[in-house]
Amino acid sequence: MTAARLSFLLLALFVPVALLSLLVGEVPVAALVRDPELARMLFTELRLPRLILAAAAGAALGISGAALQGLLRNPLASPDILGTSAGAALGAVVTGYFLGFSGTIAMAGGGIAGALLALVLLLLLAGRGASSTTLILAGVAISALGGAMMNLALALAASPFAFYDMMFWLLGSFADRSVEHVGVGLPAMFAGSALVLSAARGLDALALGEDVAATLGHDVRAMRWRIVGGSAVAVGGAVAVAGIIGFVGLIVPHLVRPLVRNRPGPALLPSAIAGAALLVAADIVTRFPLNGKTLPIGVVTAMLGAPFFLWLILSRRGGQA
Amino acid sequence: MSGLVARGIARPYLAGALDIAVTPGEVVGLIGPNGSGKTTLLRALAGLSAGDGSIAVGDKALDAMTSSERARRIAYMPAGRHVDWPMRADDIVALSGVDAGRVAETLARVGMSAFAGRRVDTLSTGERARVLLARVLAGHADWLLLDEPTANLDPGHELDVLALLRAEAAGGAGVVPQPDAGRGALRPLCADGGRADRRGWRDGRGADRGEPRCCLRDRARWGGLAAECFLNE
Repeated sequence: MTAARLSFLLLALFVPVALLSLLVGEVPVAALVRDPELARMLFTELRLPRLILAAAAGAALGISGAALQGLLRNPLASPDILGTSAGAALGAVVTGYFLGFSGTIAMAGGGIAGALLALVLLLLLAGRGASSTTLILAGVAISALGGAMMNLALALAASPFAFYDMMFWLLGSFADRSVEHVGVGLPAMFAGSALVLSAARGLDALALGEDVAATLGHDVRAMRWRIVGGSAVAVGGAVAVAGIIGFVGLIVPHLVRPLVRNRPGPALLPSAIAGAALLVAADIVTRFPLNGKTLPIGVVTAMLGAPFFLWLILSRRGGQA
Repeated sequence: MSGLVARGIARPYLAGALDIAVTPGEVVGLIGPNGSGKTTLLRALAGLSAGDGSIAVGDKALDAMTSSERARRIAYMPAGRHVDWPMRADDIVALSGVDAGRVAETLARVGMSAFAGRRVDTLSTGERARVLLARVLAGHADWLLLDEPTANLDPGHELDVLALLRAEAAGGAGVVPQPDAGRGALRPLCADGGRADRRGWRDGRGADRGEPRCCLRDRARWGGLAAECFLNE
């Protein structure tokens, strides 16, 4: 299947999911029909921003995962691997609970700053001519450092309420997102994803190794930094407004790639759309309270993702992943 | 296009600075013991490693070319047969940037037409090697730099591939296969003693130990085809 045709099919899947996400929520549809003014407010201030953020974050995670798997030539690569997710979560928490800027924009901005800081650290650690292995190792080190600092922040939490709030950044949620979040998160997610997409062309050739890609006329180093920098910014933007959301960036490329004859380049755009559809769908699931509490979206994606991933592995056992 | 001319090439693992000149239509085989720098030399000629010396294709320096121009002039095939994703054979050949007709035509040339729609992970290593060779041939580059092009091939297909490379050379492409294709090569270029004793590359005349003597033996088999000495001494 061509990437364009698959993208259209996935878009056709995304539209009804998106419409459903506008209709499902605490306020029933009947009440919205009775009160158009309430409906207008609910849509423009709550559900539409939430839909936009969930779709953009899903797209950012999907395309980043697909591009990083292609770049690092590793089916286990995910957007978290660069350490920018941990950096973004830590940046938001430090800004909100330790520097005292607990406003929406301040915390989301702090998240993006944290992601960029993690990216700079990655570039410094890995160096200019970094190989894929060095990148992965540096990313793992930064993730571990960010995770440890996050746990420290939790341990130093001033109150149980602050502790509970901080947990949000580790589990992810799109509840009560506002237009302000869209303003901060969307530009980062869009710019980062666009940068990643611009490197799609050379990814297929990379399957034959960096030397072959270079002799086929692709600038491998430029491609590497576009994908690493782009996904760092995109994922940083996503985490800054919604917390860490696992599994989407890992499984979506595995869903999409076989449909484009296992070519990593054409898998990018469909992965973005599939990621958006998946995360919006997962966000709908979180709106059904369990035991009186709403589910964190990271838990939903992991609960949906892990069994699916297992099935994927079992069904392909024998062949190359 | 006057040739592939390299002067004073020095790289790590390469013993001494090296001059090499290949004219269009020529097939040159690099022969030498493990660690003598065959792959290093080939990668340097493909413009994949930076270092001392100058490399010119025709009358234009490799450094002065854009990456796409370089890709049109030089096609490189590494010794590895690994493909990271289970892509289809025809998609692999299409990476050279040619249309579907040329892809099918080139797959036919290496005898892999029947496997066009197969995933490379379902092919044997030898079959995969032929698909990767088709990828190199499809772009019709002026120069083919092939690292062990006949490794993993059965004897029948090995002869087929060597005939294919000679046909390419007759069509004007300079071919620098290495190293075992030297058996069919018109001109052997031989490493003498490897980097251990820093003696560098030569035609085999000075070979006095171990594997390099294969040059002399093979030269006899080639029936007196002249081998040149490319060593700066």
